[in-house]
Amino acid sequence: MNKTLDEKLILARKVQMAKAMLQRADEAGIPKEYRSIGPDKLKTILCNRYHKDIEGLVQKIYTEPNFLISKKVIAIDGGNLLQRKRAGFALLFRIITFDNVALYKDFNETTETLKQFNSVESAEIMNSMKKADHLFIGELRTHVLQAPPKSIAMLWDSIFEKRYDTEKTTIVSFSSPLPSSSHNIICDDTCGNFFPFIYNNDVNKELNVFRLRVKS
Amino acid sequence: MDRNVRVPNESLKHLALKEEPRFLSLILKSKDKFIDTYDFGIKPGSDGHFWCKDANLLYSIAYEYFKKYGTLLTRTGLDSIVDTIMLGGKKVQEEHKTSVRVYWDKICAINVSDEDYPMLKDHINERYVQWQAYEFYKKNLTGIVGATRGQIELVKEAKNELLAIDGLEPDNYSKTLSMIEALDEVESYIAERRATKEDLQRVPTYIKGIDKVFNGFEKGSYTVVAGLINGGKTTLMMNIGFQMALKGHHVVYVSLEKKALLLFIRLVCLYAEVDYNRLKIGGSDSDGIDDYHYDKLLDAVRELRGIVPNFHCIQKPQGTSLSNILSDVNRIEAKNPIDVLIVDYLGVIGNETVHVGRSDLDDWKTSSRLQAFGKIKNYVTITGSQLKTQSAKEVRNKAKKAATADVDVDISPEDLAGSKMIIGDADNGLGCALNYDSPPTKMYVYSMKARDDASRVQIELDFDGRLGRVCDPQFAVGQVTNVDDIVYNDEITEAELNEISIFDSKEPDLLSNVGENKQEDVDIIKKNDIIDSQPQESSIPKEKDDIFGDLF
Repeated sequence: MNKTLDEKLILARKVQMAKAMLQRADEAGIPKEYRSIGPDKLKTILCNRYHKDIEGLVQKIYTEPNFLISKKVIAIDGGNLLQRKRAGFALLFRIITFDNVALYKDFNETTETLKQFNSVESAEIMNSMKKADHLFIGELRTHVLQAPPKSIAMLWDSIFEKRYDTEKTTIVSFSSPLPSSSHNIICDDTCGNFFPFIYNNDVNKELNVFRLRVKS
Repeated sequence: MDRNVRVPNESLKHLALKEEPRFLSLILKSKDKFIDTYDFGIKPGSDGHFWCKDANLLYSIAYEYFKKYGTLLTRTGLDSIVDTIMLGGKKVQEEHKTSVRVYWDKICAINVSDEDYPMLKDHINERYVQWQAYEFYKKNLTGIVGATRGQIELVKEAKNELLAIDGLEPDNYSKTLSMIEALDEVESYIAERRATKEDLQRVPTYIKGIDKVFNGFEKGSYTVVAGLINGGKTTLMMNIGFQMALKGHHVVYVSLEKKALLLFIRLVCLYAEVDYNRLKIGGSDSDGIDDYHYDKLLDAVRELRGIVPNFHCIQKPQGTSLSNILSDVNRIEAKNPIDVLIVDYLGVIGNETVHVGRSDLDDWKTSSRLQAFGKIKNYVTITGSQLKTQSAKEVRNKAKKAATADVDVDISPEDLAGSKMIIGDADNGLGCALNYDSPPTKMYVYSMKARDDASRVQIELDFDGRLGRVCDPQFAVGQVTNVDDIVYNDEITEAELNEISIFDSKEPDLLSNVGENKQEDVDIIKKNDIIDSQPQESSIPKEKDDIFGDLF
């Protein structure tokens, strides 16, 4: 169907905006296959363990995603690796479409880089993670943080603490479900200044930590 | 005519013979005074201010020299140019070449106090006005005395001619107003403003976001647009100027960086909604100027010829002095009164003063002169200024986060390169920054001289570098959901988006279903006058279940 000139101008602007969003997604490191996770798909991924009204929640995520930015931590657990990744990327991409700049880092790869202590690359990665406005860390494995060398856990802790102090949003997916009671999996002086904050945070209050659980 | 007897008054003649050399002695030794004389409007030539032939000749040479080089004539300079300089289209006659050198030596030996300068300038101007009035009466008196009918018309014409005498009000801006005089003017102004929303004393930018804050720019006002290098200053000023010209205002755009023809090419591309890169690539292939885009461009040229926007562009090299620039502006003004003067941009105008170690003062001086010129001529004057290198990084970071509600691209006077007095003295200051997309998609404009909370706002505008367009947003913040049908469409890849040309006559298949079912969104966008940071509720269908029905 032929469009009027007005409609073409509006469409041109939409295309320009869409390109900008996809460009930001590229720069954030969001894989292409994880970009088109819309609300219908997200509804099927999330379970109502923490939120009874999944439909309402998904609607809010897609129409007012900036509410996510007010949370310091968005913790995703449950289900399987793929589902958690999809949920995380869905949120990250939605934040990006609302004119935000974001970053994704894979936990394992980043940990390997951080092990090259004092290298330029590890310093750069740490800086970028501390400074990123919105960061998604995919699949944080707590047992890696408990294993030696302990300095790795301390580096991660410094990243999370910096982000917490500067009120930047961090999306984290956990391989193990988060307990709803104050049971600390990690709480020693190697790492854990930050994580108890997540674990101990009352899921009902959701002041600073926003929890999502995905279906198996 | 013997210049010395312009008016048959011996005392006057003696005064002129005494005062003109003294005046020249002062201005030829001081650049500030010469610039002041130049700006004041003391004219050279046979119809100019000077009565003495020698004084007139020397002043004419110094005047032309200053216009050309922006510097004061020196004795050695005089030796160099007296053979070649053109005055009124003619070279200096042989017999006058020696006499002007001798005259120079004579007047430079005169000692005159600086305190005499204002008095001498005034006297020279008064004699000039007197001479014109004398010529006027010589011409008209007989006619008025001998008239047997149509006397009123005759007198009206004569009155107009008398009031048009040059130099009668050399500075039609300065005045003193008493309270009682002012109250009458204020009362008329209030009645005028009440009668109509249109304020003829203000020129809108025709960008609603900016006009909502500034209500247009007042005639005689001076606006500085500050921004980063490649931060969109020229594009913003170009768009404002073009919109004003399209609406009938006479705009003069002084370009010290780009050629005038290039500016007009960009304006045609802007009007035609054609990517300027097509002209850069060239050829008639699909990425160049193919048949479709060629027709669009020619249509734009044809339409603009029909409208004939009142837009002049003065092209000058970087480093050109302000006097040189304003001289060209005056030439255009003489043929057609100017409403808007845009000078792009302050940082590359050649300074005519020298404050050792304080180039910021020189910049400020240039800006002050430009501001004063615009005020006296009653132009809307707009110019650009760069930010300091140290501030640039911070502004860039702010622009990166500007989309979130809490962050403003807050550019302050301290961020300006050169003197912050430039903004301090300006009537309006606009800070502008592009967002972090690559290529940028938005421009944030911030009022740098906000006087109250209502004007302390950040204006978000759409920016398209390919078209060279800055305009009101087609989507308010929160209406970004309108792009969902493209971004969440699995079938559309980024590579495919990059290849799409919306205005091709053949509609791209990929987007054939995009936007079709959102007529209400199209209507809302078109009606959108208010730029709101809140999501437009009416853009979201009332039934929640249907909200994404068209997408998935």
